[in-house]
Amino acid sequence: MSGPSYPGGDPSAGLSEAGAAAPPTPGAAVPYPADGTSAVASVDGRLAATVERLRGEVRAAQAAAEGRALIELAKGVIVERLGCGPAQAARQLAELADRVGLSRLELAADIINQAARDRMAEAADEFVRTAVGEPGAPAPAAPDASVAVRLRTAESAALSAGDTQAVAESLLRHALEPLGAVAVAIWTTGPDTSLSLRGHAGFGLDEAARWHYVPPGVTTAARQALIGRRTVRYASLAAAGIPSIGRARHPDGGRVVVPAGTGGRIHGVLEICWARPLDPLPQAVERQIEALAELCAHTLEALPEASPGGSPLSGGFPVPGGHGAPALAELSDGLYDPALVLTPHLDEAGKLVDFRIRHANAHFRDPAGRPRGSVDGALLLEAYPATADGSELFERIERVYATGEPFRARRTRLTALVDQVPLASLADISISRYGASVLLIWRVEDESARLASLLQHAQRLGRVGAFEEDVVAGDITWNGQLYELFGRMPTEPPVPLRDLAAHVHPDDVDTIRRFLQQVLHQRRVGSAAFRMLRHDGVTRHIRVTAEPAVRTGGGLQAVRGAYQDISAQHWTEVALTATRDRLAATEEAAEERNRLTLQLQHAIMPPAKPPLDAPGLDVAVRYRPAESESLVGGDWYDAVVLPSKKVLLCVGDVAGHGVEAATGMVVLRNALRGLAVTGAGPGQLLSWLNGVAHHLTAQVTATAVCGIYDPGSRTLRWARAGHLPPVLVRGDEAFDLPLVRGLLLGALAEAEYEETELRLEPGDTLLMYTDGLVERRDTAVHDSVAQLLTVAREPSDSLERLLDQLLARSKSDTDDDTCVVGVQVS
Amino acid sequence: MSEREPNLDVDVEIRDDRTAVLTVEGELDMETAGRLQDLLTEQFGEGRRRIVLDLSALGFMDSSGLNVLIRAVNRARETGGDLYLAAPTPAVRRILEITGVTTTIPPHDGVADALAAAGGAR
Repeated sequence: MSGPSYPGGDPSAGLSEAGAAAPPTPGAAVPYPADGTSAVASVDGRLAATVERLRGEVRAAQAAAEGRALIELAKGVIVERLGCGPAQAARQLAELADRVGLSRLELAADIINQAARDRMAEAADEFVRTAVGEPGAPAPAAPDASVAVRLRTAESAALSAGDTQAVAESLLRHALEPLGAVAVAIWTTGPDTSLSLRGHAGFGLDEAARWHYVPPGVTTAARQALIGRRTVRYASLAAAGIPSIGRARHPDGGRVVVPAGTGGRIHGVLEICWARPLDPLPQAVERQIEALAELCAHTLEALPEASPGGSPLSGGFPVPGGHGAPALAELSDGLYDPALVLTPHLDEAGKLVDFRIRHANAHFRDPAGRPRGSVDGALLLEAYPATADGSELFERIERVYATGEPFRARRTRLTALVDQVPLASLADISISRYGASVLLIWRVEDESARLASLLQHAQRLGRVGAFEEDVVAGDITWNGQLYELFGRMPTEPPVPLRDLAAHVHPDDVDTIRRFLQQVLHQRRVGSAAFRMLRHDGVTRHIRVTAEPAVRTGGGLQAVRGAYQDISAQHWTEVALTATRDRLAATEEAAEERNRLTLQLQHAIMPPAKPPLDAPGLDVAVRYRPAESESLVGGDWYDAVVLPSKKVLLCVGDVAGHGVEAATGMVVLRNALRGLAVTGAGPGQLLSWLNGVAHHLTAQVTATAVCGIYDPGSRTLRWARAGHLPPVLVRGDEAFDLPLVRGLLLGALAEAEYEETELRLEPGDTLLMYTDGLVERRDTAVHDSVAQLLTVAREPSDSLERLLDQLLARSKSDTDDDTCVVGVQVS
Repeated sequence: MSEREPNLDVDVEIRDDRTAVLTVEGELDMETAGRLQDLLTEQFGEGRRRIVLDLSALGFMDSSGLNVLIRAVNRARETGGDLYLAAPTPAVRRILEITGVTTTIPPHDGVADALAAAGGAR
């Protein structure tokens, strides 16, 4: 049917088949659809698109004659359907009109309605059905009967009209007077939600001049519809006590005010005025009016920004054309707060379903800690699923986009998902619309709030709850996260250590007893892993680490420590083990395991630089997996700002390769991150980490170097556990730091780590690396490190370049994976 | 890695029912560590708790090799024995120092010294 060739014969046969539903009688121009479908349903989409295209052409040509435009549209449909030329289409139209006894104009409206099946057609359809009484029955030859022609004429006029004023006049004459209305006004909305009268008919020039502009905040009938985003009907304007244009002349007259929007955005308001009080309108008429409003919206959207001398009403705010996103992106980069530029994302039906993040500005910081690039270009709800619920942010953005009314609020709760954990923060929010774009700006309350959220972030990532128990006074302090771990309300009393056994799985009671014995009686640092049974029936795998604080007299004063939820980690390990068992033995299995390991590595340490906000410190990282996938292993790095504003810097290397090493890496990296939140020094942290490695991983040893850098004093406190010491580059010198005492992790149940301090100068660079960078079979480590120092001494224009150089000129021959962390004091 | 031939020779010399000397020659790495592990397990299984490792001909050791040493020393000490390291080459000694292993397993100059220490511990 839609093919280009029509096989000889009488081409009109094809058309009459398509137009089978057309009524044979003049007058009833629009048929009642016998059922929802027709023979042309399959090509509806294409035809609708063609109609849309033809409409555009008609608009461009500024078709002079209203009727001619309609006929042109209909011809276009015939051309599309029969695959014939325009001249033949014109003949077809004439022949058909004669055959069914309609005027060419009426038949054209009919054909377009059949093809377009749009809202206008539905409205006309329903109107005719109601007005005429019986569906499909021949209609009396009344003016009302040619609704389709009327609407199409109005539409065609609107499309070809040079300005909104002409649209208003055409609407009143063709579509609204038959409904008994006496006047119509078309308002456009400004960026500040002011309303400008862009077209009017029936009110008189003086009244229009008085109402040419309604400033923001003045409640008129049109603003009610705009702000409410729905049709508003007033039986009598005076009775409702609402001011609006023409109220003086028709005080008791009714009004229907309809927001005119497309794709989720309200471009203006259509206000229709009756001279007398208005009874509720039949549904069919309401739909017809809504269809007209939609038509208005299309014309407002399509019209040029200002009507140069065309309208009697100049002034008011122009409607910005285009989406304006690039300019807005540039502007947003000048802001000192994080900002996103959003543009609407419509579904196929033209309905607003989401917003596209067109630009994340220079100060943008993802609340979930992802790099800017992973958010830029994404859909808002995909990047921030939590905006849809809880914070209602999405709804606010949608509203601002629709109405143009800016939204500003202080202390709004924002929720972001961090690894599926909702993270809430308070922020001042500003949402405003510019052109077809929305600018979203937020400011997290203040620095302390930001740090608090960072702390939350770190704690939630590690799922750490901290406690302090004064055993003398009996006071117990828990942080909020710990209540959550225990599944207790913050109003409930905390669980003292001595009662902990009552909250654990029966099989783990002995573990807890031993742990308490060690901490409370032997007064040594202790750690235990156990299954916690919560009130709510949930079982969590928890690790507790505690440190006794001893009084000067030697007695126990307090116990400090942290609980960490290792359930996710536990199940990762279980899942990996299960997968490994299942895959054992075959070649593919080995490949699958290697792939898993690599994925795990990438999941934990994305190759991109982690966002790090430490004043006066540049951080760069490199992770290079072993070339052979089977050798990808347990190297890790970490660089994170702690709640204390100090920066945790770490690299480590779990012995061995493959899934076991990578799993051990996950355990140790998470544990260190969690433990660091306690504020302990690097020596203590490694000591705890040694306990974790020894007790919680099976036969795993690891080496690590751990530093805590204080940007305020530019001092680095560091310790090492069997790992090569960091390298310091100062000016054109480079040397490795001393080999302070520290056994590799996991070798012994308890180990102590010497801690040392280094004061960095501006311009200093510190490098931490794993032995993948230096290990060689034929060279002593000492010589390999000397080679590394030589490369580090060479001038380099940036930290990133230096790291690239180090990797590129590494002489390692063991194909081990490699991590390098570089920090530079600025 | 696959193009490399596993390069490790271990010679086991049983001194008495509680003592063995294992001479480890070549490279102790991911490929070869399992062999040494197996031989050590065998010695522990036969009741020998005092193990001397002669490292004078070991040219290279990585973290997998270290892991074997640490498991062995822990196992020996749990059962009242010990592991003794004799005459590590400079490269291997450096690895032992960096990893702090020398603080928990101090190396001896030669096999004789190591056996003397083992005898003293009896």
